[in-house]
Amino acid sequence: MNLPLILKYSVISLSLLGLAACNPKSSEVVITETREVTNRDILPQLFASSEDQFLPPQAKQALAPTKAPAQPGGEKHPSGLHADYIGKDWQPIASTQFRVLNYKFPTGEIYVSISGGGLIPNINRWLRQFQAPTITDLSTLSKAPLGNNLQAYIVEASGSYSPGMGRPNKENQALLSAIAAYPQGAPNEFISVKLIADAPLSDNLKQDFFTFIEKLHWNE
Amino acid sequence: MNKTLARSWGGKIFNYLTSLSFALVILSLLFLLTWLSTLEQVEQGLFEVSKKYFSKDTVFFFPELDGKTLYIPLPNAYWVCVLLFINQLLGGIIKIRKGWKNIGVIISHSGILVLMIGAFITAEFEKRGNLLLYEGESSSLASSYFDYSIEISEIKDNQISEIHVISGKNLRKHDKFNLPNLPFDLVRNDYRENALAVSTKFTAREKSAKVIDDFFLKDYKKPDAAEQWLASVEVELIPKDSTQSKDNFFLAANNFAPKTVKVADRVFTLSLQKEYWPLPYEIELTEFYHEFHPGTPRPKVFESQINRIHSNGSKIPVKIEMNKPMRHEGITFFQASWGPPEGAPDRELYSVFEIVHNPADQWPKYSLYITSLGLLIHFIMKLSLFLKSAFANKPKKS
Repeated sequence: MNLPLILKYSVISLSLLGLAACNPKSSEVVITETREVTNRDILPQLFASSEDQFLPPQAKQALAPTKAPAQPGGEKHPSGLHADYIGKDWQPIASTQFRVLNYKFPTGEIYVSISGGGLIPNINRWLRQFQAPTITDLSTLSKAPLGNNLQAYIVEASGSYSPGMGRPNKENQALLSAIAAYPQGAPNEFISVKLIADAPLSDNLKQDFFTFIEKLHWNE
Repeated sequence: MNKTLARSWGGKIFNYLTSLSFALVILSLLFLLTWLSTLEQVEQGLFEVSKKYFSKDTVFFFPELDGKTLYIPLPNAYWVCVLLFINQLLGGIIKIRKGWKNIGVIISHSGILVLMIGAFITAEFEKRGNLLLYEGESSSLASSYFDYSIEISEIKDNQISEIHVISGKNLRKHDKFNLPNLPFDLVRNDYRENALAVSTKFTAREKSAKVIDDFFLKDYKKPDAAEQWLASVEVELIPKDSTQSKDNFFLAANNFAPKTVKVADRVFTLSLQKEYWPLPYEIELTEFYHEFHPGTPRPKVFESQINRIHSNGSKIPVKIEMNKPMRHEGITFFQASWGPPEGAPDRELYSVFEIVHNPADQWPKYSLYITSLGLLIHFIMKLSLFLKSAFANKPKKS
C-alpha cells in the first residue's frame, strides 16, 4: 500500500470519527429516584449551622470563646476531654492519636480513646484478645456511670492477653474496660476506657477505675 | 460484488470499511493511544487519563507528554473501537468468503466481536463501588468510588422516612432538578470536582469566590487517585409555594452534618456524598483475618468470612479471599483492602470489598473460548491440507 493511500484512509477514518458521538446535554431533568432506608441511615444532626456542617471539631474549638482546661496527662484534645481524678500511682504519659488520655502504673496501663467502629465489634475484639467468649447483645453487660452523665457498658476478662499486630502475648493479664456511644462525635463513634494490668485486679485499682471514668469530662 | 456498486460511493465506503488497510490504521491508532495513555497516566492519574483517552464523551483530544501538550489531535479510543468493530463485522463476517475453508477464521472473528460487544456493555453498564465493614457490621449499601450524589432525606417523627437521590450522572450532566414528589426544586449553580467548603475565618477568600454564611468553595489540586477527590456544589432551593423564599447554600463532601431545610412544614436534610448503590442482599462481616509476612508489617493473607443475608432471612456463609471473589446474582465481591492504613495497634480493623456489577463480566472468557476454537479449527484444517499435499507429492518408491 502506498503512502497517499494510507493518508487518504487516515483522513477518512478521522472524518468518520468526527461524525460520531453527538451527545447533546440537557440542563433540566425530572428526579423521581429514591432508595430504601437501611441500617446505615441514622438520624443526622438536624438544623446544623454552616460551621457544624463543614468545620472539623478542632476548628470549631478554635472559634470557641474559651478553651478547654488542660487535663492531667496527655495533650489537649479537641473534645476537651479531661480527668478530674486519677489513681495515686498513675503516671500520665504522652497522648497518641488513639489514646487521648494515657497513663501507666506499676502493674499495667489505662487509656481513654474516642474512635469509631461500633460498640459490639470493639467489645468482641477486646474479648477475643483474651480468648473470652464474644457477645451478641449489650444487655448481658453491667453498666457504670461515665463522664458527662453517660452509662457505660463494663467489659471484664482475664487470662492470656494477645494484643495482636505482631506484639507478644502476655500471660496472666486482666481487662477492665468501659465503653459508651460518644454523643458529641460522628455516628458510630464511641468513648472507651481500657485498663489492662496483671491479674487479679486489686479492689483499690478497680475503685480507682470506676472513680476515674465517672470523673471524666468533655465539651458538650 | 456488483461492479456498479463497487464503483459507487456506497461501494467504495463498504470496500474501505472492510479493508485490511482500514484495520491496520485502526490497530495502529489503538497501539499509539495505549502507549501514550500509559505514559500520561503516570502524571495525570488513571481516572483522568481513562476519561480522556477511553471515554465516549469526547471524540478528539490533545495528548500530553512530560506535562507538555502535543498539538496533534488524536481520536478517542472508544470511537476507534467502534470503527474496529464495524471493520471486523463487515470484513470478518459479512464480506468474507463463506465456506468450510474459512469457518475457523469466521469463528475467530466472531470471538473478537463478542469481546468488543462485551467491552461496550462494560463501558455502558458496569458499576463499581466499595463496601467497608467492621466485624459484626452489616450493610446492603455499596458506595461509588468516584460519583457524588445528592441525597434528600425527609425526616418524620425523628426518623428518616424517605430518601430521594440525584445521581452522580444527573448531577454532572444537568443543573436544574425538578422534584415532583417534593415541595421544592433544586438548581445547581456550581459544581467542583475537588473543592472544600472553607470558612472565611480561616482562609483568605479568593476575589471571585461566592460567600454564603462565611463559607466559600475553594478548589484544591486533584490527587492522582480520583477516589480521593472531594466534590462540592452550590445549590439553590426553589420552593414550589412561591410565597416561601428561596435558599442558597453549599453542599460539600467534607461535611460533618447535612443541610437541613424546612419547606411547607416538612423537614428535609440534603447532603452531598459518594453515591450509594443498594445491593440485592445484605453483607455481614463475621470475621476478618490477616497475617503478616514474618517480622514485617506487610500483609501475607487477608480474608473475610461473611454472611450473605437474603430478604427471606436466610444467611449463607461465604469466605472472600484475595483472588477468590464471591459472585452472586451478577455482582462480584472482591477482597480489596483493609484498614486502618497504618494498622495502628489498638484500632478496630475493617475490611473493604470492591463490588462490581458487570453484565459482561464473563464475556472475555467466552470470547477467548470462541476465538481459540476458531483458531484451532483453522490450524487443524491448514495442517491436514499441508499433510495431505505433502503425502500427495511424496515420490513413490520404485
